[in-house]
Amino acid sequence: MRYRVTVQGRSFDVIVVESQDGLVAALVSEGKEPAFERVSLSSRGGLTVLSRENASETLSLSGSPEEEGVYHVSQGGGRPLRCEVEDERRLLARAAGGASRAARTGPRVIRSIMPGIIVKVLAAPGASVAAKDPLLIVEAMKMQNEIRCEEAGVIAKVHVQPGQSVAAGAPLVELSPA
Amino acid sequence: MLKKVLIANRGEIAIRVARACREMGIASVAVYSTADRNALHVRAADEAHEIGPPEPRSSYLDGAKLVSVAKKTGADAVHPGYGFLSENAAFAKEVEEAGLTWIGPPSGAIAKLGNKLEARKTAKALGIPTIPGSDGPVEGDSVRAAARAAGFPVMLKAASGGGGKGIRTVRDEADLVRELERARGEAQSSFGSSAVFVEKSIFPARHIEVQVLADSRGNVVHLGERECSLQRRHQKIVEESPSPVVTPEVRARLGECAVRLAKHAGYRSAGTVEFLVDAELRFFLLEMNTRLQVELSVKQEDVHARGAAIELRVTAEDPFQGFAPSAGTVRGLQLPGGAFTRVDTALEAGAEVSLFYDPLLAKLIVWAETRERAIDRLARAAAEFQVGGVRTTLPLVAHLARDPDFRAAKFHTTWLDGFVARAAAEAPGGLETAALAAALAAHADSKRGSAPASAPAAGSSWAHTWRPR
Repeated sequence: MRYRVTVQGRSFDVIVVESQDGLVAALVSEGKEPAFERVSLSSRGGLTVLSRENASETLSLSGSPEEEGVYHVSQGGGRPLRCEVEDERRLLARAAGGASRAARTGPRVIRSIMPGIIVKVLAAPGASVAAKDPLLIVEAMKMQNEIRCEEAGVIAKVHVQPGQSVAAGAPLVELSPA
Repeated sequence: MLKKVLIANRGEIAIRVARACREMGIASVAVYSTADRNALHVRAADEAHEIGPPEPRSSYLDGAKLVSVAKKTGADAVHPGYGFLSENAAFAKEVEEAGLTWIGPPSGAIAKLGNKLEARKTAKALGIPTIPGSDGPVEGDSVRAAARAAGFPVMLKAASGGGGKGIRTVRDEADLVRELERARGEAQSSFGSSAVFVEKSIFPARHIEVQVLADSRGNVVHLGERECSLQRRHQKIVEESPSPVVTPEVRARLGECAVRLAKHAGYRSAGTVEFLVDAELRFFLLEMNTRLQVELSVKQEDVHARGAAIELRVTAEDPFQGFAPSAGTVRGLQLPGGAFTRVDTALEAGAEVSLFYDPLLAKLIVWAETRERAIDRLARAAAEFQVGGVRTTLPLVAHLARDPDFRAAKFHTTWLDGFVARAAAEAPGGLETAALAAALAAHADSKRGSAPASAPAAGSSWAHTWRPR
């Protein structure tokens, strides 16, 4: 599963896979040799114990009834960190926020979730794509984010090119039904 | 000697009373609303009786029901705790007339001191400094003259008010009549009396109060002062004993005034005389609380050994969202421990924090030989204290402990608002990676159908790999 987690306004794209040890999450990014920091979490009487390589600590979380996916994580000492977890479905729903029901019959417009710079365009006009295929990579706040399509289709139009800055909500790619 | 005490309250105060009863070999009776059926205070007493629905009006504030439970269970005394009916002279009288012992001041003393105008009049007659203002209630015609005589800005206060309600500050004469009408309206709806009086607004000021204890033979002693200037919405958040600014000479005069007032009113039991203290350490009577106070604990910790005690009120509020209430289920709990570290609480994992009652979850009280060391200890203990599921005032302590003005005790009654705004602009505490992993784990668990906002399900092990770009 792919998630975007926004910690105090800074967004991280995360891929979570199930392995034999449980669940493993990795930050999505490109280039350079990865420097790993492994953390593991366990539960103690409803609180979270976080273990890093040579240290561990207790955390407490509180959810937000009014905002789904929002957690305030308190690590003892100071203001808690606000984390918003969005799963793939929510991200795509937001990306396609501009598309109306009527647009479903015509081309779907995929929009940028955030202001950023286009790093790479992976989709070429006329190409057929399957659901979840990556279409382009947008960099924002030093993080690179893959924009994927929600459903299969044919690329009708590409609005952007590498190096270009885009605003939140800007149209990126138009997708015709397959 | 008492044999059985009905505790007409809930939360940590009900537990403290039940503990004292148990130690003294006195039986105790708890009461609870349907919302509190599983609350810890119900189990702290020897027996427990349901008194109605969650709304306080139909349960903890229903005096007739409380007296009938006391009689039915054979209790010979009623302890009101703080809040609810603790300062209600009519309820105290009802208890007395039912032939039960009221563990608190006589109803006559509550009536005499509970009305702020009456208390002012009594204090004036006794030579205790009062804030310049009107001698009686003001109305449309008399308010101008009274406000001019006191000098702007002025406070309009409900004579029978409490808890920060029915108080308005007026800076400009043009707003006076309009604000008076609002204050009178608020006073009428909150306290059933529209009597409002004028006091000069003293700013900047500290809120300093004196603990008194009186026996039934007319002996009254004072235990020195508490500093309670750190408040939001006229409600206290941090309390200290002693005040870092009060000199021995001022302490003696404050204490003497408090004892004189309590003696004159025929006081009995524990009570608190509150003062406003200006920058020159001139003090003025604010009011007398005719009951046990929330912050008695901080005085208890400082009474035997001289040093410094500090108390944080841990409330279910988000200080970084304007102290918005945060109700919900307590998902996990780790209480702090160690030397000179005390927690008064009714918290436990699984407890429901309801919007029906006061947001107080716990009081964290520490003591040390100096104020500096006490602040360090409070910060250590607050970081240890973890409450899952609801947001609390605990994170404020780390910010307070590194605030130079707090360290230097340079604050006043509205200082906390600015401090919280500064703290909200500071970087949050902790690692992004850790927060991210914990939030993801909680989210995944909530989607799997376990309760939301809890820690990862027992036994689940999460590995999180962090790969910077």
